[in-house]
Amino acid sequence: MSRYFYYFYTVGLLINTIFFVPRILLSERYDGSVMAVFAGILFGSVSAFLFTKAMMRFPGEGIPEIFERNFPKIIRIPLLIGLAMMWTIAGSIILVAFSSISIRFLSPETNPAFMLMFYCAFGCYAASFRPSTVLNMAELIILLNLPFVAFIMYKLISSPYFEWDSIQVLADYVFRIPSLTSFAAATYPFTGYISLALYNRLYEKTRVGHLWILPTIGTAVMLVSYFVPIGLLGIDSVDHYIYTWITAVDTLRMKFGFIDRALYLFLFMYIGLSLIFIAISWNVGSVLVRDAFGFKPVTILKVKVPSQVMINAGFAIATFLFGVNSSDKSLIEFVSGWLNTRLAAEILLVIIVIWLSRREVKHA
Amino acid sequence: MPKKISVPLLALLLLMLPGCGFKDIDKRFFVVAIGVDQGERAPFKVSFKLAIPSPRTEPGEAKYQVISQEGSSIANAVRLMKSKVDKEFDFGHTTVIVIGKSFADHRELGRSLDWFFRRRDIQEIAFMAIGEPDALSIIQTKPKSERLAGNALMLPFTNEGTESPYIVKTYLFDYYRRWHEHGRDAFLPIVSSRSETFVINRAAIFSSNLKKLELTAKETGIFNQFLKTRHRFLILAALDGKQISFNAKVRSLRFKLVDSANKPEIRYRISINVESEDTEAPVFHQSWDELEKTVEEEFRNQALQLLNRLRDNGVDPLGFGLRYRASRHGGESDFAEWQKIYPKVTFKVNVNAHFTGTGIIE
Repeated sequence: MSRYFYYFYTVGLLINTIFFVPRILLSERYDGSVMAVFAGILFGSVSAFLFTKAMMRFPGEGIPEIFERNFPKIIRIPLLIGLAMMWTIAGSIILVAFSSISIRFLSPETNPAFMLMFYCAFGCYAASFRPSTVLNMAELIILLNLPFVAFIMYKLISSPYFEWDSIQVLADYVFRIPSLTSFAAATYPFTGYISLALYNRLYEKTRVGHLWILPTIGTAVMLVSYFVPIGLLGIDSVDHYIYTWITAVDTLRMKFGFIDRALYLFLFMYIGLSLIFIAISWNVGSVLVRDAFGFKPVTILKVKVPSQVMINAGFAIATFLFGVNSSDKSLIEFVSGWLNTRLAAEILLVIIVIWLSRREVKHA
Repeated sequence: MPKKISVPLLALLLLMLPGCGFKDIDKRFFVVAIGVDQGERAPFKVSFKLAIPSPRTEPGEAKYQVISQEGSSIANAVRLMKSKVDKEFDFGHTTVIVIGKSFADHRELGRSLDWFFRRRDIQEIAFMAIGEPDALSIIQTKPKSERLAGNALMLPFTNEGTESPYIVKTYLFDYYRRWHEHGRDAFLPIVSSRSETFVINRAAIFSSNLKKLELTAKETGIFNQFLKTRHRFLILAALDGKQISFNAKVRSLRFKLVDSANKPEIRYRISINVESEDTEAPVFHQSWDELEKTVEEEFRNQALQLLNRLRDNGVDPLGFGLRYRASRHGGESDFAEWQKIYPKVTFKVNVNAHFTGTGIIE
């Protein structure tokens, strides 16, 4: 059972080390982002570890129930809504980014608004299932996609054009103080563990074991994500590319693949991973909002619509409006700003949960 | 009730489908090669080789159409070209980008080629080459063996077909990173056309996107051995006045920078396997040690000649500067330091040949 926890952690890592994080980090590669990567790995793993341990003291309970016992409504609702927004935005930016990537690389003739609308509609649909269904879906997609993703990563690193010298150049720049943004970006991929805030409800008897997996995959994925584009795109030009990882994969030629441009295989894998990431993050977001207010299903024209669907529809509409009005430039600027806020929110949540877990044990 | 609402709603969604925004495959022209030359009236002359899909794929049956257009920029020329054809251009299969020799000689090959680096549908794994006498004539060449349009120009680079030590290859992304990276310079193969075939056996070396040096065929063969994508090659050596051709394969090749005071050195350690392929006298009973020494001596001389020529021309396609930046710890000052050191560098090449056999006769 505890494997589901790792599935989401892995999806979060794989998705976020492709889209914005490497670009933010690589643009500051001479200004301390190497240190940020290592600090991010340390920080991410430690907080994941502490948070997981703390949540295990509340078997079968999610954050909404725990907060309900401990906080008055006036504190509880803003906290839960804040947490829900954190999740929803995480999904939404991936949705907007992937829809623009789809347009650029897969289907340039499609109207951007339609593409965005269909992604939003799918997100709304997939996120409205029960949490256990979403997790099963995640398992299926990860098991199908992970081997191919691993294969492409292996091919990239073993490519004759992979230049270790470019990476070693960075050795001179390790001991520089990273900026807050690059540190926030480096911790972001680890954020998947927060899903336990809600999915802990599914862990009544089982406990999340094998916690050593957290730092192990985290370190591996982060290092690959940061260093492989440098080896392939060159230390001085790696930050010229807008979709760093997409271009990095495009440098791979597979003579005997079905299509010699390996990029398409990679994009195909990442459609699945992105959609499951969107589904999970909106699922968590919508359930948190529902439980914060205690929404009941609404009846529209005699049809009983679950409140979760309504909330997700709201997310979808908001994302659509945001996506239609954003560009490559405004999106990355928004993400860099948002990452800093998210880091603060995440630290706050981890501290609250650890504090509550200590307090409840004392009172018990 | 839900069905009564949802079915018409879904049906309404169909109305929003984009319809014929998408163009069918028979309404598209696949651009398989692009040539860029100096224009007579405008700065650019762009040529496309457009593949015409045909049901027959037989040698020499490849059908294509070549069109050219002059323009003030590449994008401008492409737009103007659109009015010369009946179908939509599709760059998804563009595998070779040829740059005319006079263009390469007189223009910088960086910003002027921005269009290729910027377009999302030009693949990063397209091959770049210099065309002699100009790009258009390379694109127009029609080898008799060609089965698919553009294939004859592409196969030598992909190694799916011929594998020659004289063919160097440069991917679009590799050119771009070498252009920007301090301490590693770009190089391009030079393709020249004979009436019905191509000859690809030379390379041009660039320094900050200006062409600096052209290697001869012999030098290109050696140069290729110093890259990671090398093939079997030939070493011609003479022993006791008799010429012997050795078929050689590089087993390992690495270099080290040594900068003792005022005497910077680059030390190469190369080990190769050789086999005699064509000799004027039987070699089996001769001392194999001596054969190995002859080969080592010959290869060392050729390598030194090439390395010295690269250094004297101030180009660094083998990435010595990048290695210097990687192995020294001065941060930003590394590269400036290297630029002072490079002209003074001496090369030491240590070749270790292993003679594997004489073929099936003595």
